[in-house]
Amino acid sequence: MAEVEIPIGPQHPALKEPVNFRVFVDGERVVRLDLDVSYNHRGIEKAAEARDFPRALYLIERICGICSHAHATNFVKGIETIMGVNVPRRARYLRVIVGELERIHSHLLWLGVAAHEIGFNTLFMYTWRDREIVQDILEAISGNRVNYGVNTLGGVRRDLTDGLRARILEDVRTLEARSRYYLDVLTQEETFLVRTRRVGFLSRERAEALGAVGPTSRASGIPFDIRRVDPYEAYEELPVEVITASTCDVLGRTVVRAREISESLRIIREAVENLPGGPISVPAPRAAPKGEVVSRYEAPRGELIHYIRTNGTDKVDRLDARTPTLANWPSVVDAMVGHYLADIPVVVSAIDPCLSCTSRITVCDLGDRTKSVLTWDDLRDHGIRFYRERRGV
Amino acid sequence: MARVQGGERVTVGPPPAEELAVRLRGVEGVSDVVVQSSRRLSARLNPAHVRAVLLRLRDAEGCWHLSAISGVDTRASIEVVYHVSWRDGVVLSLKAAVPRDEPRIDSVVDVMPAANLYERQAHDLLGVVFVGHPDLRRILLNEDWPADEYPLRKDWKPDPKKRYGGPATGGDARG
Amino acid sequence: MFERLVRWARRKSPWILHFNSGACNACDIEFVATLTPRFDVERFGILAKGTPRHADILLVTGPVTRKQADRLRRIYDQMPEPKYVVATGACGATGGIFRGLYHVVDGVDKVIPVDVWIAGCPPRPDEIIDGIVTCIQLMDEDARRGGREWRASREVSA
Repeated sequence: MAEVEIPIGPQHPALKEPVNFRVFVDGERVVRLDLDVSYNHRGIEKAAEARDFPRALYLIERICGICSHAHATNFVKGIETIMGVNVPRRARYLRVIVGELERIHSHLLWLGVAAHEIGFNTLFMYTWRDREIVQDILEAISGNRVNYGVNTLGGVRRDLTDGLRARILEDVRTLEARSRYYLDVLTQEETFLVRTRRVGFLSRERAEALGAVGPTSRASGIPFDIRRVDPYEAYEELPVEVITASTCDVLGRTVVRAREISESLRIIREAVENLPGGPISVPAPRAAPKGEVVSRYEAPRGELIHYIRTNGTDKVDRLDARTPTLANWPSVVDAMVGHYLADIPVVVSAIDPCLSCTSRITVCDLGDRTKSVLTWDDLRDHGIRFYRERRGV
Repeated sequence: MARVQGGERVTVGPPPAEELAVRLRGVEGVSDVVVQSSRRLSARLNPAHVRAVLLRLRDAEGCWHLSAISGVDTRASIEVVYHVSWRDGVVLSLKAAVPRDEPRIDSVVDVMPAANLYERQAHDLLGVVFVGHPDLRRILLNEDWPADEYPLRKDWKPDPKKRYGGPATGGDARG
Repeated sequence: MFERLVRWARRKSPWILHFNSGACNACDIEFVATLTPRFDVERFGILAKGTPRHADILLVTGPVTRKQADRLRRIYDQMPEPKYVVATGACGATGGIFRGLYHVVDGVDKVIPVDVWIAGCPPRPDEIIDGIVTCIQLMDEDARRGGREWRASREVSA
């Protein structure tokens, strides 16, 4: 079988981490997909062992700039559990508010990216324009649009003024209307439906066996959401409706995320309206006793898990951060087999990979033994042309 | 099973972790079961029993998700920790200790396919050999990283004379 | 006369190639945000292009992981002269918060020459645009004065 080496060159505008694909094709059909995810490896877990908790927190927040609050909160609540520190109720609510804002910004970002992948650039522009509303709120709360740094050991560092609370409620109303609009577009726009319906099929059984998490697994009917089954922070008081779909395809993953935006807006409204009084943090000791914890968080992409061991010092002994994207990669690989090369951008995007596909794609055809070099842009354009010719969209 | 009352979690019946702990105590290969909280427990796992235990948890005890596999260098040994979870939110961390100078354990990829990338990761960064893994190659470290150097080991330090990957010309010796 | 036209064309419409050298994605999404309506960098004639062969400016994010270092070098080598490099964020300058980690090279200028650094973690889209505009001004001045040799021969003033 001829191999398809895919060194990928930079182009995908909404990038995240670089990734390298090796695609084995037979004509237009994908026979196998292999991936290299080492491009973004930095050595963070090792570094965390050498930094005291506050410094480690700044580092861990930057494992990913899109879900930085997820990583930071997951880490800090794990250490707090080991220390036996009881974070005040107001701080728990604030962590949830920022966490749900993060989920919305992440899902809108993804919606734009997914739209861009199929050439639907207007939707990309709309979603990222609306996303700016969320960035503005986050900046008003924390001072930064990305990597907000609201957490500290023992609580949060930023509070909501009454003025900010009122503003958030108003922006939530605006975004609620927009998210209803997006759901309509996604479920009715023919261009979008053709590229996503029955594409990237992942059965419930395969999703479970392969360890899929987040919207990727929920779109295969699995009602697993950490906020619901293993609640943390204020989620016991603010129960989340778990959104699932049964179509097991890219369309399902899209609809789940669109509906999760609405659900997040509802949680934010409830949290802001019922924000308890009191302090936003309590003092925490400098060192943590010897212990271990499995800390879990429902990040926008799914189950994020930090396994932390402490040893009586002010540093971790071990931090193992398993990101949801790592959990979802096997599902991508599985879902791609039998599909068209033209579907690769869409199926890969559908797990919302925290990945930037920075590569030039070389496609080798097993059948006629030809080899062509594509950029990711080429592959995207190929997909758009392919479906325009075949299905008129 | 649980009601929410003014922020306090009121549990009716034994916490799910307790229930699981009772069942685990009879499983061969599992010892030192510790309930850490209502939804967390840990136990020691005899490495020779890893496949049998995971199979049993999957087929007879309702475990449906392998959340992660963590490798930890405790200096005394290398612990391979399997975090398996249940639909009700319980996570069980099974710790299998293998010797540092020969860290080998059976792969569980055929029992729980989700293990594939997690085993590769522990292999890459800590040197654990998962016997029977279909494709145990590098996943995180770059292709120029020297063989037999496992950065997550406690005693690992970069060798200034070696190349660890990086720019082809010049490069830095910091490692 | 032709040179002035080329200079004007280049200044009016620089093509940017975005390369992620192993970043946390914060700089990347703030760069992408510049392409969207709120910031709309295209009104300056700036376009994000996919291939090194047509790019004027290489915008690099990330601290440069060991895995990406070679590829970064190769992308740079593929760009035709005159080419300029903008290193984004604290990572681009020094490796940022990842400085010293075992899989990181600590900054873009360890691999390729850098013309403009943009501070921030991440820099805001406005700051990124500002950095790109600074680069364009550099390009323009170089083109008028005689290119990179001229720049290299100037004394660095305190």
